[in-house]
Amino acid sequence: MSRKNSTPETTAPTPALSDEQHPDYQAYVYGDDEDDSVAEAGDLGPDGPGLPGIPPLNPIPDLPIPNIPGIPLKICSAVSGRYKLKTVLPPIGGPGIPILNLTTVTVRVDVDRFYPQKRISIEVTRLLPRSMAHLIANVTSDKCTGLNRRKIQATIAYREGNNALIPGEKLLFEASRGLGVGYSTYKLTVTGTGTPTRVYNLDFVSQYFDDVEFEVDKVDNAGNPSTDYSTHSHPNRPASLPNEVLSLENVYKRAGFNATISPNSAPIPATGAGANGTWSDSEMHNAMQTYWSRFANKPQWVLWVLFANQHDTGYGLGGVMFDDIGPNHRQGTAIFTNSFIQDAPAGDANPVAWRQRMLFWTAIHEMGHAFNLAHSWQKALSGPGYNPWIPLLNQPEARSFMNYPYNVSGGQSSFFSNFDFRFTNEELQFMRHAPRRFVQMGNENWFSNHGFEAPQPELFTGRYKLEVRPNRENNTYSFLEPVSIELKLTNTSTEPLALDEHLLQDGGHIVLFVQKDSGTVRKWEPLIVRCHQEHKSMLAPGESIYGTHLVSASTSGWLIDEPGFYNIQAGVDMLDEVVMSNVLRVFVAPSTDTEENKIAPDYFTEDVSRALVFDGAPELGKAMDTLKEVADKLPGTPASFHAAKAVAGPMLKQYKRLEEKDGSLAVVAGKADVDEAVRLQTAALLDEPQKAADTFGHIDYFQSLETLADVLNESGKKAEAKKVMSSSISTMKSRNVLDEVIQQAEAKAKNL
Amino acid sequence: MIVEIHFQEGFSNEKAQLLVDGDVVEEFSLSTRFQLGMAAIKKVDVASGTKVRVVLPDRNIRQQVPVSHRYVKVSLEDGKLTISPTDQMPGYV
Repeated sequence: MSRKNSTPETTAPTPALSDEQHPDYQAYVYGDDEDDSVAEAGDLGPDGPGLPGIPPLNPIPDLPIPNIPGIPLKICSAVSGRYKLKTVLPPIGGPGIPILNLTTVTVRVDVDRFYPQKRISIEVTRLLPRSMAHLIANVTSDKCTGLNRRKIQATIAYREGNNALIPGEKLLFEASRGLGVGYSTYKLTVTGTGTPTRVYNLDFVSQYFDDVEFEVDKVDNAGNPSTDYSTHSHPNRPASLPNEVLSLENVYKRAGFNATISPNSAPIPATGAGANGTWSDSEMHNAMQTYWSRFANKPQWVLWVLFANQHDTGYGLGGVMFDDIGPNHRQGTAIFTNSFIQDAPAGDANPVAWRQRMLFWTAIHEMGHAFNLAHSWQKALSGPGYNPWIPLLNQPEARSFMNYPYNVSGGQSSFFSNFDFRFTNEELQFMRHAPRRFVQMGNENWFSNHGFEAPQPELFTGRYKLEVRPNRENNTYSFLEPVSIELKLTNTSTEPLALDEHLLQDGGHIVLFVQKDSGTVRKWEPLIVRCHQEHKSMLAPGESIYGTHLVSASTSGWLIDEPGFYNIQAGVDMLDEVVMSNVLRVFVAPSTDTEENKIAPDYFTEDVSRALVFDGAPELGKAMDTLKEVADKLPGTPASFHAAKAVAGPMLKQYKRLEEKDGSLAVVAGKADVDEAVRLQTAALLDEPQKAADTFGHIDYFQSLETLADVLNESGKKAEAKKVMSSSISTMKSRNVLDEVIQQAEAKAKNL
Repeated sequence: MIVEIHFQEGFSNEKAQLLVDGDVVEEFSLSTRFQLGMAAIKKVDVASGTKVRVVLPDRNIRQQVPVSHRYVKVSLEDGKLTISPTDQMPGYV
């Protein structure tokens, strides 16, 4: 069974063997003459019987393969890795038909390369309505039918989430070559009794199942621990262990992750450990926030690895995955160089190598906890909040990074004599194929899933109604006119509901998509996202909250620019449900003015969109010039109203700018030009109030008038301020604005 | 001699008492940290003939701990305490 080399001790270690050089790497499989070859079972692994039920397939032992003329070669190179859906065709949009169906499909095929687990797992995520499905299938057949023509069948054995997203029972994964030698097409077919057959064309993404980055930082009194281990440096080892230098990242690469080491590591001063020189979990957590360049307290495939001198617990603690506090667990681990892992047994043949091996083993072990791996003897542990992700058996004798070497029968000597520097098959199945939130750092809580969560039902409670509306009589916009839409969320239940009053306005809780005609759906990302303290207020039955957004432009560019029809749909994340809006269909009219066409190339730029959203941005000089041009040359158009308002915005107050002065930066307040600002804004907002209210939308329009009134009032022009508020109130009344809002405006006008 | 009592696996919000010669010297709560396989380490200064007991009052468990070795490992398995004295310092990772 063994395919491993036995390398003489005297041979110098190579840096980590390349994949193809390593005896555990399966680069090829081939079919037999009966054309019925099937997949090779994975290496039995260090923990027991391996994966039952998969007949063996013959790996190609050596290359090159003789090419015998006339005899078709049945050689298939490795296909293990991550795939994604080749294309996502946008659904056909139209009035009333949801345009949001953004679905991602990730397929992980695990049949060759390192330690194949004979599994195919599929992850389907639909953004809105938010839903996900995850399934794992056991490979039942793996045929190489010709040169790089591979057919792999599998039966679904595990499901989580919304089965309707990918119904079926069996999978067929096919990889085929085109005109060249290598694979060029990948296809996954899902079939089942009573369910339609679904075919997914796939793109190969990576030979790894996920990417992960490790940042290794060392406290300056931790010595200078090496993060490598030369596998033949200690004589107590399996005879078949290849002679190479292992690193943290290549152990995890062989586990299936594209592991990289961050270049941002930096020595940490020992003073960070506090007066006593040892580290508590809390201190390490603080250090992680301070020193880790990628700290973000959110789920991400990154991990902080700290080498420190000693933990508060004392010499008996060799390392710990300390991050089991706060909302995002498993982001940081620590290894302690001044601990029992330095205690080579008396009389050991090579104590220096023994220590280095323990240090290396400990680092991989702690990092394994960050992937949510439990100790080998704790696999079956279950209880409230910490069930295993699938039923597992304890493996107290496993030769795994996750076992304690000194606790197996025969102690550490026995362990390392038979340790191949790898994880067990069960651990690899979890790391490679479990729902990613169970594994990803900062996601599922430590030791939880490792457990199997009940599928999350899609909750659509009917408590809310979300409307997207233009707040104008018709949905036609002129060329260059920014499209502002209003969101209205109504409590449609019979009970008062508590919700954050900024929910629709802050940009952080809504998701919005724009589709041009029936074409590509693009996500709108707000140019401003406001973080504020959550302030919940009670919304009585029938009451609503509102928000307004300029949706023409996004951080990714202009979404609404050319003439034509657009569909707009929004969703709001209420934590326990996503409330979807209607689909708003708007029309952008063609240009009727040659001047508009001339300005358009300068207008549809990121800077102009920012200047519009921020109500002016003096630093974006070219954009401001373009807006002045629009205001001057296209008077009376909705676009000119927006442009004039933005041009006037910075003049309304002493606009602060960061300027370089005498070699350093200083904040300099500019001079307000209230008269000019008022002139521009009066033209934009008050000359044609109905038209202006149409294009700005109620919320933005009436807020702008209030701001203008405040500026006038502060400038001593009370009469003019009152005139602005009077016009505002009059327009509100004519447009059936809520009485409550009108009353507030009247009160303001009275107090001027 | 100082004896270290290492409370290891199986504890979850478990009330515990440490008794030395019949007197309660410490009361504490035990929860195993899964990433270490350890809940707490308690040190007891003992002389020849000292009797040390671990009590889990909620389970009505009262068990004597041998003090002949430098370390004693204590776990809770199937509702019972398993106690293993050793001279090898238990290590955790």
